[in-house]
Amino acid sequence: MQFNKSFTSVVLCLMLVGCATPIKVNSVPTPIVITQPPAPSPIVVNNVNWQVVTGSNLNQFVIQAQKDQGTSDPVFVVLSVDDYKILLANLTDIKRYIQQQQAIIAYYQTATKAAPK
Amino acid sequence: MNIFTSLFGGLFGSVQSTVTTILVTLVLAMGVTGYFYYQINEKNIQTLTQNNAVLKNSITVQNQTIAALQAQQQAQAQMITDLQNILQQVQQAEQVALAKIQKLNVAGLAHTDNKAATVLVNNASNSILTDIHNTTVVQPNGAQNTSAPSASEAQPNAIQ
Repeated sequence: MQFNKSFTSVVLCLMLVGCATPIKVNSVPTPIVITQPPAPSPIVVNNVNWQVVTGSNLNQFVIQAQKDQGTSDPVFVVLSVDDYKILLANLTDIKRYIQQQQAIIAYYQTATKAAPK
Repeated sequence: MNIFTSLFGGLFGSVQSTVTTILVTLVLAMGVTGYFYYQINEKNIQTLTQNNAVLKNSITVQNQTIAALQAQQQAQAQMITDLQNILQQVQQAEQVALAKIQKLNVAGLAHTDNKAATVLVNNASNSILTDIHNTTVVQPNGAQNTSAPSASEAQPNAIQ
């Protein structure tokens, strides 16, 4: 019984010695540097020349087209007013998408920007 | 009597001397042990004091890190809110522009003023294409145009 108490005391003392080991705490945050890629070159648009043709100016339009194309049988790509509106709506939706994408890219650029030291 | 005294006195004297030697040795051993124990304890106390300082410093750094993370989280939440507002504004601007496009009366205008109708049609498409170009133009600071357009900017100027 006495031996057990002595043995326990010695073991406890040996265990406590381990608490005196020097410790090292590494808690310094490591910044992550994210390189911002360059922006792509802007979209280069070429304006389209639309001609509004009705029955009253159809002949004049055909004559002008014959001169422009240099042929007596000119070719046209015709678009109805409704289809023209659809085209405008499509372009508007593309513009909306680009603007929202730009906003999201700007958000990520700000969020991943390196904090000032 | 003399013989008895000298016999037992010598015997007890020898035992006393041995006990004294053992005691002195024990005291010396305890002294040496105590000295080394003191030295070890002093070193341990010094190490523990240093550990305590390191841990206190660690707690300070951890608290600062927690505060920085909380501030960053708030900033992040604000940025998300701003982004949602911009996306919503762009969406609303598109709806306004689409409504204006649907209201275009090209056919009616063409029968009354064909030139005006031609100008209207060209301006409407060119305005949208110009807006797309301006959106993708890189600003001098390297950023692209990310501000949400107002309803008037989002719709073609020529659409009336």
